[in-house]
Amino acid sequence: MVPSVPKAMAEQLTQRQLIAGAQSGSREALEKLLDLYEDRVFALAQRMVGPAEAEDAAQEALIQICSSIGGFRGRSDLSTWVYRVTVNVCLQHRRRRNPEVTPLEDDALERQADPDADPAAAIDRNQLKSRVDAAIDALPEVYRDVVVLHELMGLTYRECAAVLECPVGTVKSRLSSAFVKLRELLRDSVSEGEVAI
Amino acid sequence: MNCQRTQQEIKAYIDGELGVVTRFRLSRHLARCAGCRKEMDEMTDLTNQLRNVPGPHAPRGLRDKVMAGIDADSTRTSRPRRLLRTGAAVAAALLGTMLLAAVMFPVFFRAREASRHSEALRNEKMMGAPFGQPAEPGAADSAPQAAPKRAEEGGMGLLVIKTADVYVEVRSFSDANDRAISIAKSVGGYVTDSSAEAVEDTPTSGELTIRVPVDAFERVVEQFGKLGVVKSKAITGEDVTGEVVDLESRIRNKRAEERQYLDIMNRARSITDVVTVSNELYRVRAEIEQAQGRLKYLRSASAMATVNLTLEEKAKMKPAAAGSVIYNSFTGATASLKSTLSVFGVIAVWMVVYSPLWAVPVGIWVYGRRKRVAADARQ
Repeated sequence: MVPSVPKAMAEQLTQRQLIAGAQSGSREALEKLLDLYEDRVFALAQRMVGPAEAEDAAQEALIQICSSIGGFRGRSDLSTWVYRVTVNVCLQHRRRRNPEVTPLEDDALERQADPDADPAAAIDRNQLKSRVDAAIDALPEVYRDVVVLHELMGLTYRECAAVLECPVGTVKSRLSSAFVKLRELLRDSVSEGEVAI
Repeated sequence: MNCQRTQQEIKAYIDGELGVVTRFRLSRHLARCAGCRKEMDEMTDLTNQLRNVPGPHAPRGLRDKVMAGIDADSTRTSRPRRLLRTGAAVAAALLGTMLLAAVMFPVFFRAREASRHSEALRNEKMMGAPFGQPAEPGAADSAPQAAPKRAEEGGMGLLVIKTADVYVEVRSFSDANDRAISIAKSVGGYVTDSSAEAVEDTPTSGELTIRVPVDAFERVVEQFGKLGVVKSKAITGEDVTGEVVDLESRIRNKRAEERQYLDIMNRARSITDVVTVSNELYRVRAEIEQAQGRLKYLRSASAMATVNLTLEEKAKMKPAAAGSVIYNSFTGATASLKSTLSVFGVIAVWMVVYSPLWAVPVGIWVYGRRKRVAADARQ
């Protein structure tokens, strides 16, 4: 839900005070910043590296955020900076896990993403999550990242581009392709479910 | 706008991330295309479902681990010890700079004078060259890069990614399209994307995406406006100077880090050290490549501005003014007369063609009737 303007302004003001507090070494300010971002950083990490590594990645990202808050100069929004740090940490986790995967074109990344897996079947297997939730996890990484940042974290296209360090046009085309893919995944899972019944 | 293009843009339309012109074109297409409207409804529904997916909460112990992992002093912007060390380094650097300046000032002054002189000569040459022609061989090729280079060397150092969305109503689409392409070419620009649409009963229209050197951007947009009647125009500029400066300093720092790791690698004794350092080197190099890619993109995007030009043929005006009763009656009667005459014409042609069938009986009947009339007269 979009906050009302005065509330958003008040939040921004509080964030500025918190940043200033954290930069002057206040532990209380740091705790409050963690209150704001801890869950979101964990959610982003869980989507990017999976539940098994999420806690480690979130911990590493949060330590990095707290340790380098002194160097934050306010050129971008604090949330953009926090997500950028988290995304970088998660990308390092992915590289460690799959060192042979190098950033290529979107299509190539899509082909490389787990060729044996059947995403529709994975959605059905995962009974604990909603179908939409499971479909997000079944997306190729390159599409999942942008869907998570835009739809779940609420970043604009420009902010997504800043976090992922790519042009805004790339964000736009990836989101469009991601949605086409999501719809296919959801349709496949429904039709397979009907056949099974 | 056609269905394929609409479906590419539909997600950005739902998210409110389209420029004013594209939004307008897309909404017009949606108004007349049921298939694309259905696609939009599905995408909107999916977007709403995604936004309602609940997020997880961080595990309980995470906060403690994070707080334990932070060095108490590391969050501060300024740290006394480092400040002292930095202060000493700055003082030494200042002293060194002053000494160097004292030695180099006369040399620098002479060099600057010489540079001013040659710049003035070059400007004179440029002013003498005709419009659209390079002043010296190869100048046209280097034009796109020249603008940001000057900006960086100058005091302002502004790098702005400029984009214009222009929608022009024209008399003839093909003429305007050709002229737009020649305008772009005359300033060293090029067309990256183009499409045209011709649907029955609707005017011919098309879209062009054109990249032009940033120096010629405003002039080109103005010339495009003269192709017809400007229906809408939006110009946006994104200042990326800060990001470029950040990226440059980040690359410098990462290079220094890379050198340090290489140095450590040379002194590494155990395999564990080598593996750890090579992992770090891999990370640093990936970060350098990422930053260099972004820097390259920002430089090329700010050197060449983008113009999204939509050309649409003006709809043919009907000669009758709506609501004119006399005119409508006149045109109705004329049309009716025309159709009546054409029916008679058709009957005449059929009569001629079928004359062998009807002319003989009619002739016999006329001959017989004349004979009967003559006999009656004799009696």
